[in-house]
Amino acid sequence: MNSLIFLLLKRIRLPIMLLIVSYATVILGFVLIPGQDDQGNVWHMSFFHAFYFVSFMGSTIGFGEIPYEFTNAQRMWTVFGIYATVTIWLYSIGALISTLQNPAFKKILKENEFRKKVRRIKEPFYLICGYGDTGKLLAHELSENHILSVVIDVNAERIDSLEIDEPDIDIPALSANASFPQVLEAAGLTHEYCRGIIALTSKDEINLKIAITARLLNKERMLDDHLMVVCRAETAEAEANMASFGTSHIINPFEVYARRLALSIRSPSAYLIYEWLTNPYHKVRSEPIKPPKGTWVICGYGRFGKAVARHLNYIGVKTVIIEASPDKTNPPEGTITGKGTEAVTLREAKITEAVAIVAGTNNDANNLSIVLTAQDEIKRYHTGRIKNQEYNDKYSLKYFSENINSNEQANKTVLQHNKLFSIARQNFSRNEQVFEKADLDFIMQPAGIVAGEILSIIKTPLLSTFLSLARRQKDQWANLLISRLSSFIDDTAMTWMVEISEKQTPAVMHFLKKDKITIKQILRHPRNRDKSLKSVVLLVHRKKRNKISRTYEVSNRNESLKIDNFLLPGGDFEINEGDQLLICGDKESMHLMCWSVSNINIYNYIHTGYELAGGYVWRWIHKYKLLQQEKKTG
Amino acid sequence: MNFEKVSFAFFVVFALTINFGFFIGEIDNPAHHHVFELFAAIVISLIATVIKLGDRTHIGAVLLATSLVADIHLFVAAIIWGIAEHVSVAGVTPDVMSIIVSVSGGALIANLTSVVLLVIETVVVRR
Repeated sequence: MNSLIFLLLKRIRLPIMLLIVSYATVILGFVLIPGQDDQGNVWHMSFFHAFYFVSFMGSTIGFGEIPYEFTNAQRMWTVFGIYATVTIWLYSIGALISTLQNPAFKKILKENEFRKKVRRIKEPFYLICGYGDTGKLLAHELSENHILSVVIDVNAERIDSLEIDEPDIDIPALSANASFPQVLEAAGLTHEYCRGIIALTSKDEINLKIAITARLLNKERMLDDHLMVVCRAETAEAEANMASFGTSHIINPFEVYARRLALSIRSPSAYLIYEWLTNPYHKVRSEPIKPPKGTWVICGYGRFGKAVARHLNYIGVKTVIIEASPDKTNPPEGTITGKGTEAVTLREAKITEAVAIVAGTNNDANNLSIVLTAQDEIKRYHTGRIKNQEYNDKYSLKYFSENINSNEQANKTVLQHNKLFSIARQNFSRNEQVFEKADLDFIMQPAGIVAGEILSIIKTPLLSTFLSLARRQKDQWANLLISRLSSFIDDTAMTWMVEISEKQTPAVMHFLKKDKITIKQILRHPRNRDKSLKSVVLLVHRKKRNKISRTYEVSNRNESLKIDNFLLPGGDFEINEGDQLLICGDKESMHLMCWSVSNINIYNYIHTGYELAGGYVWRWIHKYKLLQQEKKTG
Repeated sequence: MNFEKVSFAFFVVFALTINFGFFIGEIDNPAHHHVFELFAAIVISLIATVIKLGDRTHIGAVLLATSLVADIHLFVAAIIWGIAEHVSVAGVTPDVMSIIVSVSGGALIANLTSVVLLVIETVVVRR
């Protein structure tokens, strides 16, 4: 702020100086030039009168010739004075306005405002670098969840769009290059309330630099896990590089999506759980989508195509790859060269024998074209075959029809659907409407995937632990969980975390000191303890400080902290202090549970079945009553 | 040698000398203290202030501060003079004159500090 005023003053130094000089000259002139008073005596203006006169003359107010009428000499001097002072005034005002409107000055003004806003933050916040599709989605989701974020983007237009969007919370935003450490520092990288840095720029290089800066400027806090660094990475090398210096979470949208796709083929139920719990909108779909097993055609062997092909091959699905420039991307043997938008290329890839098509190029229009062409091709093939069959039946050409029938057996899945399973990659969120209208089974949106992943990391850090454990379970396990969840969740599934601690669950802690508490008890309904809440404990995360191992393995500090994860604990599982519970249930249950674990009177009812009296007197009477009862029963 | 440095030193020193010129003389004798001198002192002091604006160094800040102090002193002196001459019935009496001159003495000290700082800076830079 200080430097701002100085900068302004420095810029208008010349106009101010000219003003002073012109005023001084004109005032001095009036004092020196002799005038006449009303009796015709020689009269000299004093400095006070001269200053008074020049003040209203220079500002063109003009009260007239005071205190006595002027002589001609004085009038001549006045003419000179008017032109001199008025011109200089106009010049000064012009200079001041042009300085204020100078883009450089405005930028400093904005930067100052931003710094001040960030400095004044008194609640936990996340620093988002890059306000593209992903950043936008994430910032809005966070603001809807009442989590503050600070945004930096190198592109000033995007920052302006943030101001137009008007999110619920006032998000401090600055257009600056996030790869400069001083910019990150101004944006609150070293702020005590900064909970994490999220690097979402489109360049891996810059994300990498942000991660390194965050790591070096916050050494102590990173070690204690107070600061989270999340990076978007689009290549494996960048991912490995980021992981090498302790970036908390690295999200590669292509890798994440390919993994999910593979999961949905291998175990549709597990995928449904995955989607259920990570989808930020929590829309529940009752029936899992089942991508078919068979040959998949992948168009575009870029980062996305490679990830999909690898994951599909890993679970034993055959892939045929179409790539426009094979010399650049090094696809495997048997790759068909071409864009995939033409029917010829698709026919060459034997699209009619395939079960699914993945349009994964980095061009949205091409992706849509690929899917539409492929679907047309399949349709034409089927109508052609039906006509063939009719023709054969007509002329009773048995031999051919038999041959076709056997072929039909082989392609049974295709025939049943009569349709290709299609996945398209949507690179830009502005194309959303077109993609929704296209007949697609899955739409791969890198922005949505990254935002969803980060949001679940921020909101429920245990969720990713749970999901990675769940991925290793069998399909049957997932089916059981789904039936259990869908039995009480109608529209929206919420996942939330509860830590058994004085801060979060004071009521539970009170009873935990005296008694054992099980999962079943904690999930009792606060209005009627015979009922239980519509929720399931998905995971119990227990940190155990193991004293013996600490002495052995001082070098590795992670070893001293032993972590136990209990997947889907049963109703009689005992809770310890410090446990973190991941719970899934409906919205109402979430509120009820948050109420019961923090209100001692409510929890007392849940635990004992008695309604606890509030004040000392009532508590004493209650105790007395209990004593009487005990005496009676003996 | 550059023009900026010359004008800077010129105005800083000039503010001191002209202030001194007004200050010198018997403290309560209006004949020894001319109003034009006070006017010139104010104008030069203002110009010196503006010239010092925008310097981000520490010594620049102190220089600006001394200049502002001198300005305030001289303004107060001028306002007292104006009130004595035009508002009060008694006019500029020796009592009032002594007040005006002693206030301008304060400005003199401030301007002196300014010059001392200027000399120190010049010596330190040694170019």
